[in-house]
Amino acid sequence: MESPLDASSGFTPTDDDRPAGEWLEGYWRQMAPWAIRLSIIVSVYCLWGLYWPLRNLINNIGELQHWLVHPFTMMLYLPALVMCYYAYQFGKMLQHAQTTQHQLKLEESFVQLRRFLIAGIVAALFWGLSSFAELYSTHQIINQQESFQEVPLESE
Amino acid sequence: MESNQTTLEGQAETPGLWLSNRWLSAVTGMAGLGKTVMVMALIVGGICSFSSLYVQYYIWSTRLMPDRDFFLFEDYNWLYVFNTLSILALIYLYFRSILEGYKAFSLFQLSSSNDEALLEGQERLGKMFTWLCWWAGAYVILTAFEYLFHYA
Repeated sequence: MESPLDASSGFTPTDDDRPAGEWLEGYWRQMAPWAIRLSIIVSVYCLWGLYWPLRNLINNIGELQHWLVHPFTMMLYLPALVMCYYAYQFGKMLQHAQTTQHQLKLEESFVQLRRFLIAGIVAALFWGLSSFAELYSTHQIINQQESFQEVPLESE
Repeated sequence: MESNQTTLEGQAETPGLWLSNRWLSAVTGMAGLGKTVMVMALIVGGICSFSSLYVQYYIWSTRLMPDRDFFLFEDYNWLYVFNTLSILALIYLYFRSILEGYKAFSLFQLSSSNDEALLEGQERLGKMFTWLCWWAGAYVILTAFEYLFHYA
């Protein structure tokens, strides 16, 4: 005999399966909108971050230096945008699974979370390299300024 | 056999979502990956925080020199105070979210045999998204403020 649950999701619980329960469903209900909000906020930031190098690249289309710098800057934002896409999918699928009690959507939503984490590794590698370069250049600038301040004036 | 059938019918009649074996194995399977991502995020966040704090230290070391008077509403000092406090708030929000994520994925590793760990792990995963959202929101607002202040 097929239950309404089976008809909606094609899922037949086995003897080992247990209901998720109100607490767990409550956590998912709270979690899904935050994942969607996070993805929207970070996407806006990344699109803003992509706009500037792209604009500079178009404005200085003939200069080699811009072709070396700006595509690298743009590459920093692309894995983060992919992360946003998967976070959005995770949140949407979790919400959909809850509203329609669709078991397969619940399982699919956690597959999206796994993809979010894989994109996170790539994003962390890019941001790590970028932040290390930033730290190095900051150190160089501060050192240059300090050595500039230490040079005595001719009158002294 | 009969009792098995009764259990399945009873389960199928219960509305709600299920902790299926496939879902549980997906959750426990991503625990190691999640922990790796969180450790990487901690390292990257550590480098970024150190870089920002280093710049702040340099700024304050020049502004608080013994031969200089410090007045909050002169020479944009209020902006530097605001900047330092906002960086500290961002660092707090970021590390709080990443630590919640790390704890969540650590608990997921135990969740195949421990329901309490599964429940707490899901709660902490939700907290990770909440804190990350506050961090991202604050970061975007502060970046927009900085942009407006410089270019307006």
